Amino acid sequence: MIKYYHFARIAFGDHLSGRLRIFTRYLIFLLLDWVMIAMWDLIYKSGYGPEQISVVDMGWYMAFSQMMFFLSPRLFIVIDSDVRSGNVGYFLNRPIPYLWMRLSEGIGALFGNLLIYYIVSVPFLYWMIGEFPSTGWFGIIAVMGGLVLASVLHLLFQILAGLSTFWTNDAIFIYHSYQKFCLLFGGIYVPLALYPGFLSGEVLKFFPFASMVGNPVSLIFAPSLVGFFEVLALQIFWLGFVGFGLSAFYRLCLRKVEVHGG
Amino acid sequence: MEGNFIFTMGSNFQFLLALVRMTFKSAVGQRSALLIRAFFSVITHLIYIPVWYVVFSVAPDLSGWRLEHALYAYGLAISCWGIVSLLAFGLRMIPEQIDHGELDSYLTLPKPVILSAAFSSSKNTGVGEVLFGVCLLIFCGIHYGFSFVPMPFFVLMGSVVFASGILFFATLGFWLKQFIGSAEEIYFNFNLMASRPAPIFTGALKIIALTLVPVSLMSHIPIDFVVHHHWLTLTYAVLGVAAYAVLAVSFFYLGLRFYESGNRFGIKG
Repeated sequence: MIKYYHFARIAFGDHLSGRLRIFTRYLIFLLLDWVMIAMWDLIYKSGYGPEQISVVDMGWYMAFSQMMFFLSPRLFIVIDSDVRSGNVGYFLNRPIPYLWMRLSEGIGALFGNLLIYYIVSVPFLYWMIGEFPSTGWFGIIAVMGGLVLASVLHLLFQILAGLSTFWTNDAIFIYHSYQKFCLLFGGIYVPLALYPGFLSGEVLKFFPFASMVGNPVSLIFAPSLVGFFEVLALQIFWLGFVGFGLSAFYRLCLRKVEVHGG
Repeated sequence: MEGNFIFTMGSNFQFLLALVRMTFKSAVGQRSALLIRAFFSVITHLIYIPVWYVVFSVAPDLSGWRLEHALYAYGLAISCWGIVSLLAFGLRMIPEQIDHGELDSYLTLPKPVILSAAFSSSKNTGVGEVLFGVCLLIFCGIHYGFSFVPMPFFVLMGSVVFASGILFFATLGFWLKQFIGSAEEIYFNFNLMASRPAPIFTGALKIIALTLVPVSLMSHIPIDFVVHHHWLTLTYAVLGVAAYAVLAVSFFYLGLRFYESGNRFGIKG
């Protein structure tokens, strides 16, 4: 395990050294937050806001749901590049599984982002929304806690998208498809509880997409220890399930490399 | 002097056509891959439509912006995404080409460099995206009664805006290494923002949506024209599109001065 720790540690330092890149990405995050907060502000002003959720709480929900996509690094691009350039062949000779090496690097960079986004975002979001959520710091901390494993799950999906390059020669296309699924089933634009009958939020909350966005971010409305551990338990289940699937998929990729070359 | 300028423009246009023809041939050459990707891209974009159904089931009317406007805007945005992917995918890859020193080969090709860099590669998912976007626009025309006449012009106008936006943000790759991941994120969200309701964009957001990330020129103003027929606004929008394109190209050439070439050898036919 120590070697994975060192990969993560190096990736952490490397990620934080790209200050200009982090700054640019953070600006995009703020812009998207701004747009989503403005959208819900308009919905409330038009008289359609749900009574059970205040406009302030909804603003925080929107901001944190956007944040999930920005917390983890763009790992699928790295894997896509490795596969297309053939560099993956060199990594396979190393005495460390490529899959878990890239994941540990992703987790290292993720912790770099967590540090920045969690510290910098709270004052910015307070400035944009104008108030803290009705559940206060407890709600914010619960969401932040829930987003850690959510981001690791997102990393696993990114690796899946990246490895799909072996067949599609294009991870970006697959990743964009995945992102659209997240937008629909994750509750990014609208909390899952407000979904209409034909897309039952009660069912969708058991999907992996909800475990990444809707479930952890909904803790902002009513945080509780029981609720937090329920979210965590479902995330751990999906981490295990997707991790197992990813491992099997990786073996399939290895066979392709052995047959066709890197 | 004027004759020389017209001659140069004519030559550039011929060069552009030759590049587009070659790129299109290469895309069509991979028939099965093209069909598979086109199929999956249609499925992918279909998934996004229920997102707006969900939003408008909560709020059916946002200051005059309804589901039909969101669908029209999405149709425009996806058509533009498809056209740029199909014909000028090279624009999206500029940050990666900078990192790998691959712009070197374009510097040796006939000028302007931007044409070679933009039109030398294609992505065949674009076929599905263009088909999906156009079908959605036609659906909006039939089902909601939007005029078909300005649609081709709006798709062209939106494609120029989107391509310029991609070029503008891709150029940041001259200063930011390994920018391709963030750049892809910007392109994706740029396109998504174009389908978000226009009434959201007020105050400073409106200024951003008309200048730095001009999604309003791509979809909001065309939809406003379809509904209210404000010719003057459309004229200003066309001028805005031209200005943004000039800005993006100028920014690219500014960045090209910072390009540290020669770090990897390659040959392009």
